Amino acid sequence: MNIDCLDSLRGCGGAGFPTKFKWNAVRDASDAFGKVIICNADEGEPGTFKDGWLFDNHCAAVINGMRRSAEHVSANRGFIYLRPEYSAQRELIVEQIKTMVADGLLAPQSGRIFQASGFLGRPAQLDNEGLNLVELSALDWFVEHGSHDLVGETQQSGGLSHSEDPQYPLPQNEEINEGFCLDICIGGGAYICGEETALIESMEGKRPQPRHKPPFPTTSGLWQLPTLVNNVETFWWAERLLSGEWQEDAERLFSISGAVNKPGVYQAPVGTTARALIDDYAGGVTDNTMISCWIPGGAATGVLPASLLDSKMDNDCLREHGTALGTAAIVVFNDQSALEVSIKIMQFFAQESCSQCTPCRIGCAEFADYLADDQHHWPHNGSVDEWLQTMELGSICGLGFTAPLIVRQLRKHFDFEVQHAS
Amino acid sequence: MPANTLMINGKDVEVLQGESLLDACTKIGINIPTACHDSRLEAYGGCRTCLVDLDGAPRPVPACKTFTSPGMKVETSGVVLDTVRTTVDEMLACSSRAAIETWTDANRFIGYDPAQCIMCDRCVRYCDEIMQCNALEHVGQGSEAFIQPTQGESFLDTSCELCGGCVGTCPTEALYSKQSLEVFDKQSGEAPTTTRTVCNYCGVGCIIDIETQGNTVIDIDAQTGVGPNDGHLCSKGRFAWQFINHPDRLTSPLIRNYDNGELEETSWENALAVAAQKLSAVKQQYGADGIAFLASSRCTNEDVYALQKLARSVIGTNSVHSCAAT
Amino acid sequence: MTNSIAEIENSECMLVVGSNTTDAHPVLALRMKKALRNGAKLLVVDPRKTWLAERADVHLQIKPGTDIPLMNAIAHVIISEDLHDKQYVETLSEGFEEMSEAAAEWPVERAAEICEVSANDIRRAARIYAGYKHAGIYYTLGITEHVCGVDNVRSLSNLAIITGHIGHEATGVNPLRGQNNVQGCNDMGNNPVYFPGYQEVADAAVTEKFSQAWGSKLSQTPGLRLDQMLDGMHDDSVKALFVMGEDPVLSEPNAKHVHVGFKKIDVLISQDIFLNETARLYADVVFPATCFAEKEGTFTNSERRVQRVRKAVDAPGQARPDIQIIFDLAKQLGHDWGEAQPSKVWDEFARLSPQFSGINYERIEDEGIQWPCPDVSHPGTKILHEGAPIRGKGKLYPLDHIKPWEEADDEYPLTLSTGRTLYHYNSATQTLRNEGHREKEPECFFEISPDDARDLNIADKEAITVQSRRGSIVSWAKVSEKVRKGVIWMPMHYAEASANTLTGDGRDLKVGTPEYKLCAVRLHKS
Ligand code: SF4
Ligand code: SF4
Ligand code: SF4
Ligand code: SF4
Ligand code: FES
Repeated sequence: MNIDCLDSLRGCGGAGFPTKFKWNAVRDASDAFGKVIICNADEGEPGTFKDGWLFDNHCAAVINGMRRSAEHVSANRGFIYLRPEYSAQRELIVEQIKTMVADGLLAPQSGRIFQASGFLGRPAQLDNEGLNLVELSALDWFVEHGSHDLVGETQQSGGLSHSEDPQYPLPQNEEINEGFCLDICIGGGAYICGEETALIESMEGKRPQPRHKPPFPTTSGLWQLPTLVNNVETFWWAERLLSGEWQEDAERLFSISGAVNKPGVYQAPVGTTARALIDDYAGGVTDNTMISCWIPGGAATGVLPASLLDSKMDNDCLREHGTALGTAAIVVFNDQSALEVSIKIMQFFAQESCSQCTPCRIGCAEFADYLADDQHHWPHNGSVDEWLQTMELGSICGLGFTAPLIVRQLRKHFDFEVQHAS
Repeated sequence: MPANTLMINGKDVEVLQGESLLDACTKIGINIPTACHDSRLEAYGGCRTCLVDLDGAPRPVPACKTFTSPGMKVETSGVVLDTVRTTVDEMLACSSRAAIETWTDANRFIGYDPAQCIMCDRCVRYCDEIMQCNALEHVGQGSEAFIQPTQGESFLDTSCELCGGCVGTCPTEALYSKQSLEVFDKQSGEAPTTTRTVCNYCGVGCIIDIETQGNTVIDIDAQTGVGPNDGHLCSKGRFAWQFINHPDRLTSPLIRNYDNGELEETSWENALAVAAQKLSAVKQQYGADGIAFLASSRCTNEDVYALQKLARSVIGTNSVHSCAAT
Repeated sequence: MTNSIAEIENSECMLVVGSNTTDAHPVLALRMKKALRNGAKLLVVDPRKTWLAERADVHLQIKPGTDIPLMNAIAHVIISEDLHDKQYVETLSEGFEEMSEAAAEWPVERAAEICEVSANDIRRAARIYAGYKHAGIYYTLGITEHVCGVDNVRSLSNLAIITGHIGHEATGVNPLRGQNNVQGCNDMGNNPVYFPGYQEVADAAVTEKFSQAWGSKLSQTPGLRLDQMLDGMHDDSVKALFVMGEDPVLSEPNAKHVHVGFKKIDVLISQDIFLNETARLYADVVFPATCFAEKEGTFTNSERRVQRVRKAVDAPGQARPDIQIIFDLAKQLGHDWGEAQPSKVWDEFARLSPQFSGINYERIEDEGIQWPCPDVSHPGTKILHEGAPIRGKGKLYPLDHIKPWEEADDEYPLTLSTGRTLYHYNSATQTLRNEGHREKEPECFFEISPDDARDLNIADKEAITVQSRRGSIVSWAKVSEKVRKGVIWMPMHYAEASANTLTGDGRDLKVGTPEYKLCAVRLHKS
């Protein structure tokens, strides 16, 4: 299969890895025991809700994208790893899968629902209440300030009946004889489950702690099989590009929320300015108020001042300002200071750290306290810079690497002074 | 096994396939500090105390969890690396920041102090990989994570075998022996001493270290790499030592008072004299083979040798045996 | 053991017979667990569903006491399917013809019927065992505490020899010793027919050597085995017993009978760290001894490793080391052996016992040495029978089924089998003194299969009277999938409800080891 038309496509889940490379890497991996495709729909990055929107509106296209990747790498098993809160989307996906099974496009046993494990140890029994295991306090704040509740109307329809209880754990050695078997795996309910190796661990029924890399999932993923993990949006774009429906360079879906008149998901070319996105797409700032600060690509990309609204939303420009495009999720604030927003983000990370490695487990918590402290008192012998550097260099996964960015952005763009212990 | 050559601090080192950078460093005498590493367990790489610089890697890598391949170039020190390692140590010392309330347990052997826990997971992994009991779990996230018996039940109700291996591998005092805490006298200021000996229960013959304070046994532990047990012990070997200091112990020779049928305390001189006289009498009347000797297979070799020698050369009988011959 | 403990983790296949290793030898079992984790095959022969049995590739849950038919059938499968090691058999064994003929008497179907297991499982087990190079056999009391204990062991060595599974890494026949120093106790000549170092009393030259060394004329009359001693107490040929660290009225089967014997003798001298039952009831003189933590010496573990025991604390009150007491008594009896120094005693033993001559305290200061070790430059022996069997050729024995001493019948329809649990140890004088261990398993219980429990209308945790032809005790029922129908299992640790009240007089026909494992019982509600 020729996938040259994917040249312009980079992963849309945050890290931005070239999709074509990944597909070819999995294709070239040896496959004595089969290969696996995983669609990462554990949309947990605060401010981001495009994946839910995609299932609401383009479910078939996403699944077709997965089918194409399966064909390209010759995989016979696939999973959609779905954020547990997306119960409405779950129903839509099951419907879609059933239709496709009927049309002979997917293996007959497709459409089952499995449960991944979370942080409360090994799931004892599964009940529907127990599915969402994460404590939401810091995340709640983001919800309040307008992001997750923007995911499709359907989600609010509530009281959904699930056709079946999820199974746990995933059966490992299944024989798939005909075609591509696509099932749903309900996520472990934690932010870090969106990290591809933590996601795989949780599918294997373990604590969702990120793995050490290398080896990468492309060679050793789920059950050590070569595994392709892509974001929902990545599969969607791949489908559009490969089917010829979209013939130019891939664009991005921007999730825009917070203090804007028309929050929502908008498709725009990479490189559009934030101001254009806010004004032309999202209907301008609420009540014409002043923007106090904004987030360019989900919580992990930190806060930027209003003065940078005219910079282009692409990785090169954003890197100059110390950040990245991330999940292309813009959150606009008008009544919260950059410090207040940063404290919340840091608290969120401190809570969501998987606690595997020391720099992130202790660092995030200490920095959250430090930012929240009125005096910004720093109680340690090592300097703030040494701690930030240790988190960036000494952590295992992206959460620990990027958490220091929150503090760095505050210091770079806002009037934030470090107080040392006296 | 094929050998790899790699370079550490500018020196060529030969290692075997599958050995880690930590093994390689140890081989050439470079000491890398570790905390989450236990050579009997699979590498974890979580504590980050053992970071080293690997040429070509975007960040320092954990020596314990990085496996050698030919041509690797490693530096175990450097300006940035040293800062990172010092800071990791400082962070580990902050592990108690959340002083969370966790659990207490009815069992009498194992206690847990979350304030000391560095979440190195050695205990959990020990229980999973070595004991294969899966009786411990790491729960929660971030700085509020902690260790608990599976499902939060009591150790007495789970598949836990009370082997105490989790206590043994814990690099801090987070998991501790309740029995030791009870008898250890902190106030006295008397430093404990360690005596290496052999467990007295089953035939595995585990090598144990008895810790004593004065004349009191305060703990039993085992050292990785020592003896047939490689630092492992079972519940009996590690915890069943209360009998040593137990009040029921015999402290004086006893002799039967035939008037009331009771055993009464007596002196050694008298006990020995009476025993000798009684044995001689039987020998005189019934011959040497009227006397039989039964030795426990729990006594030392020397005890048993002496007893059979007594039977054979002093009494003159070959009737020496013990209860279970296997 | 013919092999060493550390090797076990390199096994490709383990055949575990009558050993609940994870409970009785927990740390050795860790090596098995590791081998399992590395993908080793596991075959378990045990009437009980033990931890290992649950994870076994084949679990042969045989009817108790049918080990020989099973092993014969396995041997027969191996030979008839041509899986045996012909070269080993030809050059390094003897008795193959007779042995294979005896095994041929036990086609798989016949054995399957007697053992009450599936014929196919027997075949599978045979093929797996013969199919790996590093295949070791492990057994304990489950095999020896039977009327046919010696033949049981021979049936295992038959298997090892015909497959050439002997004398290399993780491959051999390995008895796991129950008590810490069973091995050493045998080595030291605590045996009616052997002087120290397995030198026969029957050999005049040997007796002469020891007579010279000990300076007194030694008897060449073989002594009595434990079972003969107990019988002798009944028929008045034994009138005095000296007991060092044992509690025979609790630990020996058919307790009632044992008590009668003790009542008849004139003199009982006991030496122990606690006042045990035997001493409390019958002793004339009791010497307070020291426990392992209070003395110097050596223990020899299952893998023949002589290791140093060191003193950590002082003995309580006037208690004295056992060795001191014996020296004192010898002196009282007119033999002054000088100072009671363990290292000197060892040296005397080593000088007189060629297989141990190379071992001394200095050499085992840091690490124990495995005998045979004939001289001080010898590193010790990790694997026995390496290259070839020590006696030149491995002996194969023709064997046949021997019925247990007592079988279940209409009157006593259940078979009682006894064993150890993880938390206690033998008569538990030490472990029951640990509060934590007593708590985990405070009282005697017996396991009964759900089927039998239903048939007899017995509920879990119900108090039940267990009765045999010799006595009865009350115990809690534990309904458990671990035992098979028709069998109940009971731990042997509890004084107040001693399983030995029930057990019988069955003894191994050859060495007199009591048949702890089996007797027939019936149950009543209490
Ligand atoms: S960086 Fe944080 S989230 Fe990632 S592995 Fe370490 S502790 Fe877990
Ligand atoms: S005592 Fe042993 S079995 Fe129990 S939790 Fe600790 S390691 Fe596991
Ligand atoms: S209890 Fe000990 S071994 Fe377990 S995680 Fe904490 S520090 Fe590590
Ligand atoms: S610690 Fe346990 S396994 Fe080791 S010798 Fe003692 S009783 Fe046996
Ligand atoms: S010892 Fe290497 S990371 Fe902990």
